Amino acid sequence: MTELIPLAACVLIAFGIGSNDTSNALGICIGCGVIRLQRAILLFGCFVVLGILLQGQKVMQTVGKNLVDVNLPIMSIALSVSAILIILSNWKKLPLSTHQVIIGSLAGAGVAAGVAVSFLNLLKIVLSWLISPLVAFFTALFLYRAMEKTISKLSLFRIERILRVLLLLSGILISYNTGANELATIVGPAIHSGLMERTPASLIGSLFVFLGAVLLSRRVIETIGKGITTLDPYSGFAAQFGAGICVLFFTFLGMPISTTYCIIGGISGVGMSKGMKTVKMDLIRKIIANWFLAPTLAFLLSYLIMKIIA
Amino acid sequence: MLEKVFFGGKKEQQVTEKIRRHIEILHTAAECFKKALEERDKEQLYCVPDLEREADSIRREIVSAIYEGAFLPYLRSNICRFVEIVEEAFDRLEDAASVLENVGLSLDKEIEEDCITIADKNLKMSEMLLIAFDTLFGKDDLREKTLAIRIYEKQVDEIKVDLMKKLSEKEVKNFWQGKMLSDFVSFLTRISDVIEDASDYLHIINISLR
Amino acid sequence: MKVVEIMTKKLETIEADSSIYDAIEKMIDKRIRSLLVKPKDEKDVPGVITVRDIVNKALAKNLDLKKAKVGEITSKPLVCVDKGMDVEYAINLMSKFNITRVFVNDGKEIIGIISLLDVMSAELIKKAKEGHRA
Repeated sequence: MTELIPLAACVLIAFGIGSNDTSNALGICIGCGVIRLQRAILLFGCFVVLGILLQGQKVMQTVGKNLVDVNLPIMSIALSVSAILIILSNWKKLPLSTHQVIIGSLAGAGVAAGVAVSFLNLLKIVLSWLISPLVAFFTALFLYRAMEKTISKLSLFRIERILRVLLLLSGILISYNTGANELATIVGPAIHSGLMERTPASLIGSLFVFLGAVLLSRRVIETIGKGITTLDPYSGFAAQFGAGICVLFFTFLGMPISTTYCIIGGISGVGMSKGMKTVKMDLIRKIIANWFLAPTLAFLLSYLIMKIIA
Repeated sequence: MLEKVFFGGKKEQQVTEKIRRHIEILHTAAECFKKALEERDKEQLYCVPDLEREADSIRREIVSAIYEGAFLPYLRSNICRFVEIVEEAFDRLEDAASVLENVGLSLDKEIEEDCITIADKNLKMSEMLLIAFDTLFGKDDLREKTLAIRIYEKQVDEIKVDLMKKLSEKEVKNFWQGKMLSDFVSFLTRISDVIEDASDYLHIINISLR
Repeated sequence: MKVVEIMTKKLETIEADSSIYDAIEKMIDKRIRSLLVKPKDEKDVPGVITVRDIVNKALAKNLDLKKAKVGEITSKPLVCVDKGMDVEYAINLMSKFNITRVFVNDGKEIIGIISLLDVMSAELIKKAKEGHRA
């Protein structure tokens, strides 16, 4: 019975990832008309599965084992709190990073339960959160400059053809990361607490991500896709692919990070190369506030609830 | 689906061919207009409205093909606008031809010479526009071609100044004859401006994806 | 390219005994930089007066523009090219005499004028067309 709670929470969060984060990967592609919605979602689903199966272990291990010695009650509370917070924030349309909430609540519950919490790993993770947007910033900038020197020189037709392919690749990369990093963050604790085996957990998680994408992502993609493509396809690719490479890099290191923030970093990087500030200061302030608020809130809530229950 | 992405470009190629054809028709119409003017041949003038109809239908094909999915959406509106501007050049040419018909193809020698020169420049400009369009898909530099078009346009402007002076000194039998003559010159000189606009749009299309 | 293909046929002329002031007015109104000066009689030859002449020989020397005559600062004889000559020949002539335009003649008659601007424009257009065929 008690196993149902974390399971439900996992499923819910995975569903949330599908409905919200598909747009990260495919908003640009769809908005640019490179691929149709249904096919995009199918592609997204495939690469999420590939991502988590091929490279999810590192992040899963970091979140599930290295950070907190996860057991069932910790996981239940952590994931439930996360799920509630995520649903609330979606409802209120506030941006909240799935990773931060999960990590925060795991840490909170862990501390309250008196279990070993590796603050070293926590530090590593927080550092990754701070550094990753910057890495994305510079990667995107570098990529943009490189493109200017190479692709720009070709004739228009060539560029148009090449960009289509590149945009698709970029979308695939982000989809892959969604599996290898984001989904792995959720599934990690579930696996390491013994709730499920790795492969079935990965597959079920992917399934629910896919369902979320199929059922609910359309509206988000339409709004965000239109917003992102005010960025021209050229810059859009550099921003997104730069972010994607950054996330892949951190996935290699096993660090769970937010693709959304990396994409913001990427967009800023491209914007800077044109000599203008694309990201407004108050947006950055909001993001920084979120950085502190989200995990702290999750931490406190989980801590409290753990203390109450235990 | 993957073939469409990698090896496709069929839709884009079709649209490109149609746009080429569109500009070629403008060139043909400009040519027969000039001939009709030189030879004072009314029959030849009829080619202009005929060709304009053909161009109109091609333009519609182009626009619907584009919105059926050719080219990245980012490029689409600029390409459509380009085609519309070329169509406008056509409309002015047709207007000039129809007024010319009414004026009866009888112009004063001095004025006629200048008009033939302008018609010739229009012809050369439309030829250059086609060359310029082709550079979008090749390795040539677009800048050279658009500069050539601007040179022609400046030349037409100079002739226009003189022509206006000559017109103002001319005696007309009645208001309508004067108006038609003035309209004719207006339409004729506007063509070069429109072709220059079109070439500016090519430049915009060219830099939009870099 | 032959000079006859790119020359300007529009020739503005002025009498040798017009005032320099008249010449200036004509140049400004017609937006041109040189005027063909008509020969005074059958024995005379045509000449040319340019903005350079006006600036250097009249304005700089503070001549009375309304009194001084065009004939006083005209350059004679004209530097001409036959209409069938190549544009390169005209360019060489211009650089040799350090002038910016030469007249085009058909036999004894002056039929046009070719300036550096005409040459530059024509070369550009030729380049634009040829680049395409290359």
